[in-house]
Amino acid sequence: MVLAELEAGYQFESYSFAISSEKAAAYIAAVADDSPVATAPGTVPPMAVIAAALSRTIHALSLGGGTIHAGQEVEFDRPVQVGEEISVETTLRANRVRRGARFATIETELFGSDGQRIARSTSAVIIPA
Amino acid sequence: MSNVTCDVGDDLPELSKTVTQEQVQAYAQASGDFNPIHLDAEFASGSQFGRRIAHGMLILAFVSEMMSTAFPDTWAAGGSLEVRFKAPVFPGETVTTFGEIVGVTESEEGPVAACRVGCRKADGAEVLSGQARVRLSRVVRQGARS
Repeated sequence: MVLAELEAGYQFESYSFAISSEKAAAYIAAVADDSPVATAPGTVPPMAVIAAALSRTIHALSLGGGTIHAGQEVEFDRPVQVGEEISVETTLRANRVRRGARFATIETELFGSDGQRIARSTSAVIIPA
Repeated sequence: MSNVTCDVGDDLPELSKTVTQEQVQAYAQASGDFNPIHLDAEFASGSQFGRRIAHGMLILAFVSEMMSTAFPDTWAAGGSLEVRFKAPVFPGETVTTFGEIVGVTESEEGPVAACRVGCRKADGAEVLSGQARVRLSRVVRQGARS
């Protein structure tokens, strides 16, 4: 998938994933988060879910190593449980070239098995031309 | 909240973290973000930063931890963040989060605190900054100063 060939409004193929207790523990250790929310038994740190979904999109787009993360918005609707199936809908909200660089905005919405939204993420990235 | 009230002007609890290359490696594994600008010294030496940098989302996780610490009952269920990344963090650097309540408004779901948040280096340079919003729990409201 080549970002330059995608138009704003493009919807990526939806997918689902879950974060295991091992993955959650690895994330908590990596960010050294000992807050009550991160260490609550059976739950996943809210940013872990966002990070996992964003990484998957970056990988799908084969963004180069010079990609810069310029801005980030997140909204958390409810905590995510370890092992919970999360469905992901990703939309390319903006994609344009300006002053020799490509500016893209990627929106990701995450839903629980009940169809209710869990979280939303909007990432602004800059890719050198 | 653990150690702040919910008055405008109150500061959120700071967190200081020294970022290491080992931590960046661990974050790449945990998040799945293997961008070589974080991991490959040779690649990063040719980048605009000249060396490896930490993931922006790793630094943002510190801000989320600050919010979790300040608002443990509501951050993961109704909290939001909007930030701009302003400068890279290099392994070996220490960053400190900051936050201040800049407004408390009523909503259909109850009172909501608006906060100015961010993270800065030891020399005061801001790494990221923006705003956060979080619902205030009933307990917090009862504990608020008048």
